[in-house]
Amino acid sequence: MDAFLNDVRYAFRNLIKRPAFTLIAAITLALGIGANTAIFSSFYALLLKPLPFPSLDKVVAVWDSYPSRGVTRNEVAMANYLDWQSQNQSFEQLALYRWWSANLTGIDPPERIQAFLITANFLDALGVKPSMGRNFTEDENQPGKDAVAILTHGLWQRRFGGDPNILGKTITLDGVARTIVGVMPEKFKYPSNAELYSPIAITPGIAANRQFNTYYVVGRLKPGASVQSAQADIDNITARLEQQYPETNTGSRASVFPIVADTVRKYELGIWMGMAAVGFVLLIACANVANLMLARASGRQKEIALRAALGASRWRIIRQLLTESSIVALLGGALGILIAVWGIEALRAANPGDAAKFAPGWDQLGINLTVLLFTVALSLLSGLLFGLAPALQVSKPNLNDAMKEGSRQTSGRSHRLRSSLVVAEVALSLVLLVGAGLFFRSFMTLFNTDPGFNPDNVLTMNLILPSTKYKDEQQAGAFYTDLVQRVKAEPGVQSAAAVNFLPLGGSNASDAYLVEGEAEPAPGNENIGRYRVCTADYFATMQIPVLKGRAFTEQDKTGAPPVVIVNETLARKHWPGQDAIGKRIRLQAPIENAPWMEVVGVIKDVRHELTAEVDPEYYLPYAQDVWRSMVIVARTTVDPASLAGSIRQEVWAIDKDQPVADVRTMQEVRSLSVGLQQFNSVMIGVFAAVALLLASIGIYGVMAFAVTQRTQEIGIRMALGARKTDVLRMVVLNGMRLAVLGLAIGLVASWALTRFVSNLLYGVESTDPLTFSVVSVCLLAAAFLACYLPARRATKVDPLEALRYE
Amino acid sequence: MITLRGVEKAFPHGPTKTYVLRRVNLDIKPGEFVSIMGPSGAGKSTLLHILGMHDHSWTGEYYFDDVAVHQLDAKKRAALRNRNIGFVFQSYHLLDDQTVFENLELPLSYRDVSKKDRQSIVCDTLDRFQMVGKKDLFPTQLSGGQQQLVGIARAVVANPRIILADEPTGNLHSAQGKEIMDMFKRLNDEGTTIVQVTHSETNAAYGNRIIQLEDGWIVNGEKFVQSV
Repeated sequence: MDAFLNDVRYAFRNLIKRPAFTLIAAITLALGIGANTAIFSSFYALLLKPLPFPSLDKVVAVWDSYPSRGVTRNEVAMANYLDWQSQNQSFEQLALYRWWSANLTGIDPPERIQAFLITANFLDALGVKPSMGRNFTEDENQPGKDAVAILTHGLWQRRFGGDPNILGKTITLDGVARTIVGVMPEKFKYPSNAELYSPIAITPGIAANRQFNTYYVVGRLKPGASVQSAQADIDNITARLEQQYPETNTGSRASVFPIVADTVRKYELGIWMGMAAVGFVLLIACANVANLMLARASGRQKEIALRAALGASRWRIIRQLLTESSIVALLGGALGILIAVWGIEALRAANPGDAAKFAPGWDQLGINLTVLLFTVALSLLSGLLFGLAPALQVSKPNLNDAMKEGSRQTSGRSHRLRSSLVVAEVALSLVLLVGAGLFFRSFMTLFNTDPGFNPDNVLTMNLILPSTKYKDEQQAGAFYTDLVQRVKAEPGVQSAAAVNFLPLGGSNASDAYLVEGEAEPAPGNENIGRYRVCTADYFATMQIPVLKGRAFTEQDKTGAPPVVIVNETLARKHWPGQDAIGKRIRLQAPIENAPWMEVVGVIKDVRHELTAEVDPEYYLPYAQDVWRSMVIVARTTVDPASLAGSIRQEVWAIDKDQPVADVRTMQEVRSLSVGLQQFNSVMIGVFAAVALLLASIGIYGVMAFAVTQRTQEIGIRMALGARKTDVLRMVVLNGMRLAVLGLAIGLVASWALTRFVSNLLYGVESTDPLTFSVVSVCLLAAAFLACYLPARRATKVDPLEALRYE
Repeated sequence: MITLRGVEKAFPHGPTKTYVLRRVNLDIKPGEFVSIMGPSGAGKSTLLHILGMHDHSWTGEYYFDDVAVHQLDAKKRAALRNRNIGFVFQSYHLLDDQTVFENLELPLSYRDVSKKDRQSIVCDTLDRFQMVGKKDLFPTQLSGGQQQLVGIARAVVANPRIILADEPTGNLHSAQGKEIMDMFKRLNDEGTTIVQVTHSETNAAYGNRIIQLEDGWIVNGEKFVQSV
């Protein structure tokens, strides 16, 4: 212990004596450790502990699936859920929920909140209880008894000021009064954007329906049951249901997934990629510090030789050196935490893909005890990593040589080690740079993909008219007709329309359709098309080209002949080489006796997900298919965002209780749709830039050290006739030789590793030659600069000075 | 061949200057073998490096074959040096990580001699110095005398008209020293001008003129010695 304290004391003294070295090493490490800490905190919050449920491994998500169509996750129909629930042997609880965008009125301002309709056992399945009040009872899933609600802690605080007497009070949701019976604990929020829960009223009609796939199912496994056994159990049930209900259940199966894996699947790969990237950054930082230590150790050979001569064992010397490196590492770790705090703030601000809304655990992002322990462990590991090689190297001095005056203070072995470290740094940087290049290209390809409409100067906002207030289609239709007219009349508005789902907005509806003249497809093989309804000027407002026929007009109203407009893909699929105008399609199940609709127009394909192929799509005129939930779109001649207030006022002029949600410009909608890709690109880009900087510093350090070591040699060469250009070329070539070797290794490694992220790339191959080439050139340019600076210094060597050693 | 007129070199030392060389006037003719002698700190090596055009921070006039060296820019001065001057150092200054062959090749590579010509010139030189058998050895594998022979071979490989040698036998014992001085003598006999810095009267006796320096002044520009 005494010896250890001595080591620590001596290490501190040594490090304080060389503040520049200590600071540079600590800052270099801080970059690596800080990046690791920040990404680990997201790894911990989002992947390891995203959901605060007890016995988390027992909680699963169950999805409808269609293996024959490659669909592994589809929402569930109520009747199927009820059968799964009653027939299974594996689940302690099997619960169901669905999204409900509820208008909260009666308190100013009216607001659309994200509510969920749930079965009474939903919270039991997750293993949580309200912190105030009670859970729902099974009874409350009966129609007419469902007028109760449980608030999340967030909504309780935000809209009710944390009122301790909230229980028993009523709130108005979609025009219906509901009694608050409970408040959830602070950390509970599932799904992650939930603000309120109400019981789902299961009417006999809903209970019997196997076609409205709009529900999500979560379950808690019985003790002894596993995901595999539950899957086998549910496979038996779905096979029976397929026999029993061939019309609706042919090809339908179910998939059981652990809840964590199911929840994090969208960003899991991205986080792993981030972990790998920061791991690389740390390795590069360690290589740099190891190089610094080696350079410094070469100046300490005499001291170490003296220690050895005085009887210090090799292990004792290694321990002394490792104590120093550990202290530097811990200092780097401490600075790294500061960088991580800043990094986590940046991560929160970036909110990739609206993660704050959709990623459970996002609000837990931060430095906690586990993250701190990780940082300390990582720091010590780094200390060992960058300290061990130099310690081993210099702990075995040649006493005779080292103690001679004027002896050369580096060995070829040390130089080789330093060179190898630089080669490794360059290789690691190249992998990161290639990754960054691929993600950047992927993002740019996405961003430059023609969405099929003009997103400039368009304002959008979403409204959901409550069915309790707008009881029939006529009322809802009148509201939107009035609103669209009012919006059109606003100064600065060029045209306006309404559509049920925005392109790139993330929400879509799909339905099966039949084509006149084609045989009805077999069950499980239906024609599925995206389905939209819009008002007359929608195509003009969004500037979606009508390629053939016409757009909707005010004449396409109720009672007029049913019409439909299809996209190019649908027209090509069913009527290749023919004119689609005048052909007829109709909705298949679940609408009985749906009328045939005549195709009156063909529009250019519109993308609803930039990363996916365009599906067949058909549009119905709003007047012939009234929806309560619509998005208002307005093309403006002024900054679209500046009209948000006045258009909101137009809504409230018609109905003062009607909340307006998701007020965004179309460009914002578009950016949000590629938010994850943009984030990946920026994140890897930042790490790659840090890596490039560190690697350049590494090359610079090695070359500068080499120039210092070779001053005399350079002097001799100049005395023998070497010109400045000869010296410049010699030093640059020496450095570039290392860079090119690192580049070659890095290219092979990149080629092998980038395929793991090919799923995250769009429109660019993971081995894209252009990216590989451009990145290589950039890296070589940086390496050249890093070599050039010490080389230029080398040309300034005065042969007289260099030879004065004589 | 070489004419120095009023050459002075000084270092600023506070408000005053410390002179290393004072008003040096010197003429060296082709084929001479000149020895510069004097006590330590007299300015011998400084004078040699000025003659060798390594040092250019001095005042006065320096003519090499009537070319005014003091008016040349660095590039032209280097070209003139590379064409005419070879250097031999007291500590040999061979590059340890290069073989004898590569060490000899070095000055040629700085004179844009083609690879093929370099090889034939180096082979000739090795032959002339009877070191063919040692061409693949590294300097550390040679004795001090052998290393200095390589040093001389390297100085003559580019066929200079004058060789400047800074205490070429300073690190050698007497037998090795004699061998080196014999080599210089032979080169001088073949027409190469030699200027050496030496402390040794014996070595100075190989030359035909001694320049005695003291405190930066030439104290006997005209002392001629009898050839050995």
